[in-house]
Amino acid sequence: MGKKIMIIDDDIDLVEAMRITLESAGFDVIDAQEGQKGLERLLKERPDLLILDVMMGSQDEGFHLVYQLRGMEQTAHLPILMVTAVGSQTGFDFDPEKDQDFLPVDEFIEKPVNPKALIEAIKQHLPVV
Amino acid sequence: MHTSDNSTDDSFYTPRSLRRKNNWLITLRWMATGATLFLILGAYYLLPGQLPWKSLFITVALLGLINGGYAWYGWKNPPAALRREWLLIRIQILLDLVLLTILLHFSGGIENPLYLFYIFHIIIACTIFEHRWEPIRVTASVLILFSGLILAEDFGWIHHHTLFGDPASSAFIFASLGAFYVMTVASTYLGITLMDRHRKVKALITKKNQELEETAKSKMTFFRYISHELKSPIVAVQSYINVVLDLPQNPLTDQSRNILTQARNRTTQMLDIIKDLLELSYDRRSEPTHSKKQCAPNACLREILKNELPKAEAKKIDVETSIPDTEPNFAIRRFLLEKIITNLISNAIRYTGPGGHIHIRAEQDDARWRLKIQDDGIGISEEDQERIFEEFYRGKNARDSEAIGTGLGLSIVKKFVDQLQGCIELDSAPGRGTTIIVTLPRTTDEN
Repeated sequence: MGKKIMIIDDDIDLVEAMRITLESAGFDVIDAQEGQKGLERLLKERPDLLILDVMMGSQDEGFHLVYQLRGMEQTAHLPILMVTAVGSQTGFDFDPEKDQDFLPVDEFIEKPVNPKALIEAIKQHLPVV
Repeated sequence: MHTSDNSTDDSFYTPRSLRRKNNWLITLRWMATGATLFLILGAYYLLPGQLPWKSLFITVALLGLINGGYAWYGWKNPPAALRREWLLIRIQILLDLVLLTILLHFSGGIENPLYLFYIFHIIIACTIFEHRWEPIRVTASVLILFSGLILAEDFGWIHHHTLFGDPASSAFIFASLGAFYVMTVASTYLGITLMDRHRKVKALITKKNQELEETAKSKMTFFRYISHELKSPIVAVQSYINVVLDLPQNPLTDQSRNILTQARNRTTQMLDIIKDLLELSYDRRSEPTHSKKQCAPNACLREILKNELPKAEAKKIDVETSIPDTEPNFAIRRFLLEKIITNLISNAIRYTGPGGHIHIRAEQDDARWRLKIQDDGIGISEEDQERIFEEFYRGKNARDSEAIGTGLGLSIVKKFVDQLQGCIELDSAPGRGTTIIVTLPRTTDEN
């Protein structure tokens, strides 16, 4: 059975593009458009890796969710790839280089996502069974 | 419209600003002491009448001594409390009035036209105090002191020293006093009115300035919002194109692949423009805290070269670098410096043909860091050089040689160099190449 990957992003087209990419690489994909629903589904379905958008509805919803996940025993070690927007450094008060120090995610990926890079990053961070 | 009442807004003053006023009074008094001494000496040699010279000189000496006392007190006690500074100002003005009255007494009283000097104190009170009735209080003191002196002399309670020999008649005295009253009250009224108006205008300007700053801030917020809204659909489009182009299970004809590649290039171009616009709208007043970070410029340059050199290698461009081993003894804002260096180097690579040469040289001294980037690329014509830093302007050579470019790169460089209070020099000719020199001074940063 393929590894299960969850995508939480409010842009359904981005989710769709990633889903096609991931399914073609043999992963199972589940998704959610919004943080709290995503969390519920995540706890129920226990994916092997999470792809999370930095900001969904509100600017810090992504950050918030990361902290919530890291604080829970079941998800403390879940690999998280965080997707950030181009120009986020100037556009928003967010700087991957600096925020990485305190934002406990495994990797930042820039939008638009490059399929090969995405699959590469996922393989790198999936727990080896 | 905002109308100010006449109450003193103490938050407007700081002990330090009041101390400046105190020091100003002390400076004025040194000048007044010198001028008075000069006048007394002049009178001593020129006037026919006999004045109590000794008393006069002692009074002036007292004025100087007291002023030295103020200066000493200020030197010993750094400004701390508003109350104390206000008190100091009031004491200074009151003592000045008393000393002036004594001087007038010894130098002819009503006969001496120097009693007009009282007006100075009224004007000073109008400029220093915001309370309407502070200058009124000073005026009242002036009227009481001077009338008291003149009447006491006229009634013979104290001695009257004549300036010109003959004692003045009572009629002259009362006429002079009357004129003096009118002038004093009128000056007070005018002084208060003018300062009121001045303060209203000042308050208005401060308010307008605040409004402008808020507008700039909301413009920035708007820009961020718009850029996010513009970016999201393009990111989605490009993500789909990437999926179609890059996933091996999608067989594409060569033509489809070319068309999609071109489509992807255009979405990349659009994203670049948005990114550049964001950088161009960057304003230090509303900058995110992290972009205040400083960096050592030579290390920053090396770091950027690491990313840019592969692009030059791919075009078989020979890049020669000369960067000092040591850093200058000051740092530069990283966010701004990175954009300046990156944009200039990537421009040099973009507009230099295969087999070309780029020479990158950094230099520094105690007060400046300088970056010189010299290429033998396509160059910029003289007429384009005038407009090259304008937003969205691309030189003809640039358009001919590279279809894609936002036309914002050099505008960003110019803006950021300006923000760092630096300067940028351009030397170029078509076909001969371009030399750009950016000089960034050591700046005293506000933090």
